Amino acid sequence: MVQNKILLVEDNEDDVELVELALSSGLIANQLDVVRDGAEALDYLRCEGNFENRNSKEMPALILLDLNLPKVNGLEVLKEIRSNEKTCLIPVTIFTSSDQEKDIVESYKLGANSYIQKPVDFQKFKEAIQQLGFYWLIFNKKPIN
Amino acid sequence: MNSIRKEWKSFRIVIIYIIIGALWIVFSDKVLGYFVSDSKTILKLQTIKGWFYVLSTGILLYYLIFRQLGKLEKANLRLKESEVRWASYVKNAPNIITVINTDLKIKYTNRINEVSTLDMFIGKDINNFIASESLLSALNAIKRTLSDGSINFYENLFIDDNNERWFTNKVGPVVIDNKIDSLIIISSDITEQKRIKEKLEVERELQSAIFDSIEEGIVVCDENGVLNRFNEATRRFHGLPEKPIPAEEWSQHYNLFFANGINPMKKEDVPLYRALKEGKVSNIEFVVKPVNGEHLSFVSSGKKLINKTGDCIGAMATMHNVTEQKKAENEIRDLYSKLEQKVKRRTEELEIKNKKITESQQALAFLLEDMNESSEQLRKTNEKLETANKEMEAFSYSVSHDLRAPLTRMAGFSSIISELYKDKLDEKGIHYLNRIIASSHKMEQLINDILSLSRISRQEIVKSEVDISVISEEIINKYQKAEPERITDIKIEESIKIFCDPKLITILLENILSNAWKFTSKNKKAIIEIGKAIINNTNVIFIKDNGVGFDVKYSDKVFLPFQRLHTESEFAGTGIGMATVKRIVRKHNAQINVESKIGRGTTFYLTFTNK
Repeated sequence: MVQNKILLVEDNEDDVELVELALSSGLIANQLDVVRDGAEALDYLRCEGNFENRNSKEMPALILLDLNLPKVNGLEVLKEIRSNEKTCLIPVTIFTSSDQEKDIVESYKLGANSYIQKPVDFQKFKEAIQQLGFYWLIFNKKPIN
Repeated sequence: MNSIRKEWKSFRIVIIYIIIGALWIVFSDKVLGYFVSDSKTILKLQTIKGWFYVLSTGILLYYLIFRQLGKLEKANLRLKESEVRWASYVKNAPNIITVINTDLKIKYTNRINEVSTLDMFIGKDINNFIASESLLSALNAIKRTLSDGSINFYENLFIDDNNERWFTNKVGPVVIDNKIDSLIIISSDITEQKRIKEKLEVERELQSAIFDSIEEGIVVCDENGVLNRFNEATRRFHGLPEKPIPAEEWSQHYNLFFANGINPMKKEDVPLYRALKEGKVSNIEFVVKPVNGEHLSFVSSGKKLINKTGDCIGAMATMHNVTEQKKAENEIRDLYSKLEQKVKRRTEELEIKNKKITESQQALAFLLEDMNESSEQLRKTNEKLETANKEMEAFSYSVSHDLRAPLTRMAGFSSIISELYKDKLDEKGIHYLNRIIASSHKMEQLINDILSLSRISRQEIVKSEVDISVISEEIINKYQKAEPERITDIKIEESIKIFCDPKLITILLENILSNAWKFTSKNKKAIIEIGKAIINNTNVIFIKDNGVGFDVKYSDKVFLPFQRLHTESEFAGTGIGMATVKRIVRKHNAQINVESKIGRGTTFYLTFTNK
């Protein structure tokens, strides 16, 4: 099920682990691809660099994007995703610790589908990740082509 | 006389003839006797002498008769000519000439034309040709002439072919042998004259109506300077009585003065007379003082009046009443002089003040120098402040992001331990782990509050009318849902409206109401009241609770950040909420006061301005 793949763009190992934990305790087992910075995320989506051999037809069903990323930051990655014909329809959820108004507004302006601040309480963190999975991977209807 | 003289003349001639004849008869024979003594010769000579006498008197007689006859003939001819001439004169005379007998029957008239013949008049009574309106005056005139031979006049109206014609008639006697033989009436058609006269009358009436309706005074004099016309306005100005009085009496009713109203004007100074003498005068001011009235001021202009042939026929002058204007001018002059005095006084005062100001200015100049220095310092401080603001923003960002991220991880992993490794920990281990989790929640709360406070400081406020009753109700409802077991009595007055930023006021109410909710949590029954009141003539909003309250000596500290009046174990909190409230109040230029008593509760008073 190619469509059920989630791409997590996150530089912090701890956060990657927490997301994995949150997902694994849920009912749906999704395949999670993780990239560590913005540049790598773009390589992944364009099937370039380390991801040269990736099937370019297999696009993730959801991208979880952190904003504070090394090299190319989250907003730039989002802009790139939306401007590329192949990736412009992929749902993108900003998943970050910032709740700055300007980050939220900028994200939506660039075409983010939702914005979630990482909850400090792990119970809520878990719920957020699981609900995101349910919503975007199961309930949400996507264009076939 | 003439005929007597003629008789005498003839008689004298005859006498002379008799004397000469007698002398001839007496003396011729005597003279002859001296020369001739022969009787025969004497007889012969006497016969010749007799024949000679007859012959010579015959010749003389012939001459005389011939001459007289010639004269007679000539006279007759001349008479005839004269008669024809006179008849022609009468016939062609422009006037109508009528001769009437003493019985008033018409004897002759020249009033004949294509329509009227002489027969229509001759022998008719003159009465028939005089209109009844003028009959009486006509008969009177005729009778007077008849009785004393005087010449009389009358006017009569004659209606001829529906044309009204007026005639003036002169009646005179025709005297023959010292007796009035008949009367001659000479009639002139004066219809045109009458019409012109009437027209002139109308014209004159119009003129004097216009003349009198003009509000400007107009005076006219004749070429000798005798006043002869005043219009109505002038009559009024000069205080002349309503009824007309002769021009020579006018000057008894008023006096004229020069513009100052004191020096009397002589006749030669009066504008009208000056106009007559000088040809033209303009804008001469003078004063008229009627005997029974107030004096009035005038401005007068005048001109000499010249007829078509260039002769002076008088002068006229206009009089413009400037009394009111003069009064106003005088008032203005008075005011002006008063003003001048005032200005002078003020100027003096001002000069003194100016002196003082100059001194002050010098002082100010020194001050300004100091100020320039200060403003330079201020500018530098501003720069520093701006830098500090930027740093503050960067700090806020890192707080929200960089501090939160590790916190999330701490809490996340702690939770995972307490979930997955619960069995491997003893009770104390679980307790410590829970403390870590609780602390991380507390820290999250702190971070959120600090961010909120800094955000409020930077936020621009946008005011509108806000119903705080509705907002308060929503907030309390939220709390009641979270803790439905609590017994509460919430009293919120309806429609409390203030002019404020709705977002900020919601934050303010959340902070105050959450405290009220929190600090009444140990009461059996929490009472929270929100309402309006008037304190010291000012509209205030109060939020009152019956919670634990605090010592009034700490009321200054309530609004300081991180300042708490209760221990964490009593009531949880970060100590930033009231600082946030104070900041929102300050941003609105509003006021907040607090009253509190331990164990009795706390009341906050908010005073908002209208704009």
